[in-house]
Amino acid sequence: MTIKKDKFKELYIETQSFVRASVFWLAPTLDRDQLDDIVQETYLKSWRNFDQFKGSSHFKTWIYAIGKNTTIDYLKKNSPKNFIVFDDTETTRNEDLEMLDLIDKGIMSLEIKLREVFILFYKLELSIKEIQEVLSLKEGTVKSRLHSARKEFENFLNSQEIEEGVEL
Amino acid sequence: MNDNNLRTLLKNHSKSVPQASPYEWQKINQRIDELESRSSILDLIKHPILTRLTLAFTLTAVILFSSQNFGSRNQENLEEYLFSDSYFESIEENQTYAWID
Repeated sequence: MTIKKDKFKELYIETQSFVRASVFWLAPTLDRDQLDDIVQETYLKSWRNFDQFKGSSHFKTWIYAIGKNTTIDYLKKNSPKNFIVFDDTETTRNEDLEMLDLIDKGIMSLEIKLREVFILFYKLELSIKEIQEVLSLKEGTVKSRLHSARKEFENFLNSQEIEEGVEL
Repeated sequence: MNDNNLRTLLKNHSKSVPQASPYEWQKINQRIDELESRSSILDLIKHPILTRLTLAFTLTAVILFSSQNFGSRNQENLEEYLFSDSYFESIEENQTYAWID
């Protein structure tokens, strides 16, 4: 048990900032306590299934999937309003957008599939190969989503520049 | 806008991720310990030998209880029979037959 826990602690230290940032960027309207809850729950879930974890798949990949599912479940249970953030058919509600600044609004305006790739690549600075592993996608799909996300993000910023005269 | 420019823009302009508490690991560790102690009790309940022993004990108890009940019911029936008219009648009948023989 001690060896297992020591190994788990090592992996926690290695991945906690990544997990925290990815949860935060999946749902930036969460407050700090909610973020803490989700991160802790993510590690507890991964501990429960730690025996099933095979070293062949990278821990980061595995825990990202757990973190993402935990975030979605949390939002479904605790805040149905925020769940819309994960709805592929819509972007984000206006009242949520009001809380964020222009760049964050641009990120939140992306649909979840695009936002996920965009955040992993530009905010968390993962390589295309790592994103492929984390999301279990083909290289071509990652690249095409990234291309669409960048285009939509730039279009959003350009439209805001024209509307509000914002300089970036 | 190239990738590096976009990364710089995102770093400089968007809000930062709230930092984790320095005690976060302790909290997780504590919850893991609670989880483990709960699951060890559950494991004990699920333990095959213990389950068999519990089952054997329950079966023995059921058998003993029902046989005791069955025995006492027989005793009651016997007592009832010994003090009933039919018992005396049968004795009389037997005596009659003995006399005929």
